[in-house]
Amino acid sequence: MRQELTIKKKEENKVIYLMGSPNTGKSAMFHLLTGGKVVISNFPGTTVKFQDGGMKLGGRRIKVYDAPGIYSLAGISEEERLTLRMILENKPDLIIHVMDSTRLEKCLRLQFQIANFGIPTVIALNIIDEAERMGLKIDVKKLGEKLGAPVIPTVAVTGKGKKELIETALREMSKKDIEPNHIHMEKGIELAVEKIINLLGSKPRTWIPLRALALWLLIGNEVIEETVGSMFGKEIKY
Amino acid sequence: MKLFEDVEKIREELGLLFHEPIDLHIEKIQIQESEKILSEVVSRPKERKKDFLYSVSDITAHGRFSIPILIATMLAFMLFFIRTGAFLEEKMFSLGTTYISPLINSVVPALIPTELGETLAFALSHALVAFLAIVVPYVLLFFILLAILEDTGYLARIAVLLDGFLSKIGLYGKSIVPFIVGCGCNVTGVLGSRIIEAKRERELTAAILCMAIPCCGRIVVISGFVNHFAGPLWMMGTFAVSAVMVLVLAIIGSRLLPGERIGLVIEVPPFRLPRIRNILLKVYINLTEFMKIAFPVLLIAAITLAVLRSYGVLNVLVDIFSPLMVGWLGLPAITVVPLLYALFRREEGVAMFPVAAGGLAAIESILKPHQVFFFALLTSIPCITTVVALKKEFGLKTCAKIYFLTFFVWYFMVGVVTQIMRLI
Repeated sequence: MRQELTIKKKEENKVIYLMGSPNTGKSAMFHLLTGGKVVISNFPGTTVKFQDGGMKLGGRRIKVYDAPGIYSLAGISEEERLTLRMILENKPDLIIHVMDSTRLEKCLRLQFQIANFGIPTVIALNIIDEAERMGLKIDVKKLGEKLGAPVIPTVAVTGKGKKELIETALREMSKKDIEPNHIHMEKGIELAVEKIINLLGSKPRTWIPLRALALWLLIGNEVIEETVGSMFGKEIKY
Repeated sequence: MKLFEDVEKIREELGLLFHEPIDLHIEKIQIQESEKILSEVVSRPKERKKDFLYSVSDITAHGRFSIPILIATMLAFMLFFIRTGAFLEEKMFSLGTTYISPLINSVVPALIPTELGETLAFALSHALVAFLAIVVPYVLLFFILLAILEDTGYLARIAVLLDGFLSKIGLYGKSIVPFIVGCGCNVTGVLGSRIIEAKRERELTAAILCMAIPCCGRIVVISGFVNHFAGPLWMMGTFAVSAVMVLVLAIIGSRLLPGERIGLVIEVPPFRLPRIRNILLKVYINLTEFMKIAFPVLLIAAITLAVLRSYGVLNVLVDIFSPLMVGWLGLPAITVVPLLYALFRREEGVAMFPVAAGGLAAIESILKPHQVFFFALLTSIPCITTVVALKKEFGLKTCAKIYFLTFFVWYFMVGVVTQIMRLI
C-alpha cells in the first residue's frame, strides 16, 4: 500500500513538490504547470498519492509532484505520513506551497512545519480572485516577510500568475538551501529542543536540520522516529 | 532505543510544566502565531459581502432547508437522468440497429464463413448495440451530473449532511468521503479510504463500499437495465436496497467494531458556478478512462461468449449452474452468463444479457420485473479491478474476506427472498 518512494532522479533533473491543505487547488496548479491530465476536483481528498509530471523550463526538465492535501505533517493520516516520508527520503529542490487565499487560517501551520526543513519554498496565494470578490485585502509582501518565503498571487484554474510563479520558482530553486525559518517558542520548549539536539549528537549524516528533527521528536511523530531510528541503526549505545 | 526514552522523559517534564501534553501545546503556539500573522496581513471588509452564491452556500450546508434541498436536488437529478437517459437510449438504439448491426452482420460472416462467424456476428452486434444504447448514455450522464455536483462544491455539502446522518447510526465520520468518491468507481473509493487512519474502520468502510455503494457500472445496471426492463419504481427500489444495505452494514459494523467516533473533518469548499471547461475536461477524462477499459473488455466478452456457445461449452456451463440460478435464486438458467461477465465488469452484465438471451426483446419475455431487480442486486459483487485494488491496499486475506462476504450476503439474501416467495 505504500507508494514506491524512490524517485529516479537524473543528475540534471530538478524536483518540485506541490504541497498544501486539501482543496486549495494543487491539482489545478499541477495541471497548469505540467499540462498533465489530472482530475481537478472541488472535493477535498481527491489526490491520495503523489502524482508526477514533467515540465520544461529553459531547456531543463523539471519533475513536478502533486502531493495529497494535508493540514499538517504530524503523521496522523496516511497522506501526512506519505508526504513527510517523501520529503525526508527524496528531498525536493523546491516546494511550491499552494494556499487558499480565502482560507489562509487553514494553511499557515503547514507552512511553519515546511519552513523548518530549510528547503527553498515559494508560496502560491491561490484562488486570489475569490478572495478579492469576498473583499479580503492581503498584504502579499508582508506575508512573505513573515513566512520567510516569496508569495505570488495566483488563480490556477485560469492561469493567472503562472509566469511570475515560474520565474520566482526558478530563482528560488537556484539557491541550494535556505535558512530554516522558525516561529518563536517559549524558553522551556527551546531548552528541550536544545537538549534533544544534544542527544542526537553529531552522529546523523543527514540533510535534515537537527532542529526540525528535535522538534518533531518532541511533538512525537512516527515517521520522524522511523527516520531517526534508521539513522542510528543499532550502533547507538549509551 | 535509549534516545526515545530520554525524549519521552523530556516530553513528560514539559507536559507537567505547561499543564497539557506538549504536542497540543506546540499546536496551540502554531495556531496563535498563525492568527497573529493573519491579523497583521489580512484585512477583512467590515461587513461581509453577501452575494447570491454566498447565501446559496449557507442554506445548502446547514439549517432546516438543507435536507429538503438535498432531497429535491437528488430527485431533480434523477428525473433528468432517467428522462435524458431514455431519450439518448432510443437514439443510440436506432443508430445501432440501423448502422452497426447490419454492418457487423454482413462483414463478420463474410470474413468467417462458418457457423462460428454467424454466432460471432450475433454476439458482437447485440453486445455493441446494448453497450451503445444502455451503457454509454447513462455513464455519460452520470459523469456529467457528478462533475456538476463536484465543481459547484455541492458534493462536499452532501458529504457533511450525510455525515450528520451517518454519525447518528455510529459510522466512522470519514467513511463518507470514500463512499462519495466510490460512487464514480469503487476502485477510487478503495484508494480514497486511505484517509481513514484506523485499520479496522478502514476495512469496514471498504467492505461497505464494495458491497453496497453503486459505482458507475452498477448505476448503468440499475438505471439502464432495471429502468428499461422493469420500470422506474423497481429502479428506485434497487437504489433504496443499496441505501438500506449501507445503513444495515454500518449499524452492524459499528456494533462489532466499537471505538472512538472521530468526526468528519472536511473542508467545505465555497459554492461557485460550475466552470464549463473544467466540467468538460473532467467528463472527457472519466469517459475516456472508462472506454479504454470497458470497450476492449466488451469485445473480448462478446468473442468468448460466441466461441463458448459454438463449441457447446455454454450449455454445459448453464446446466452446471442451473440448480443455483433456477432452484435457489429463481432466475432463468441463462442468467448465469451475464452474471459471470458482471464479475469482470458490472456493466458487461448488461451488455452480455441480450447476447445470452437472444436479443433485447427476448429479455422481456424471460424476465419478470422482480427477476430484473434480483439480477441487479446480484451484480453488486465487486469487479476484478476493485478486487485487485482491495488486495493491494489490504492484503490477500482481507480482500478474500470482503469478496466472499459480498457474495454470501447478496446471493443468500436474494435466495431467501425467492424461497419465501415460493412458499407464499
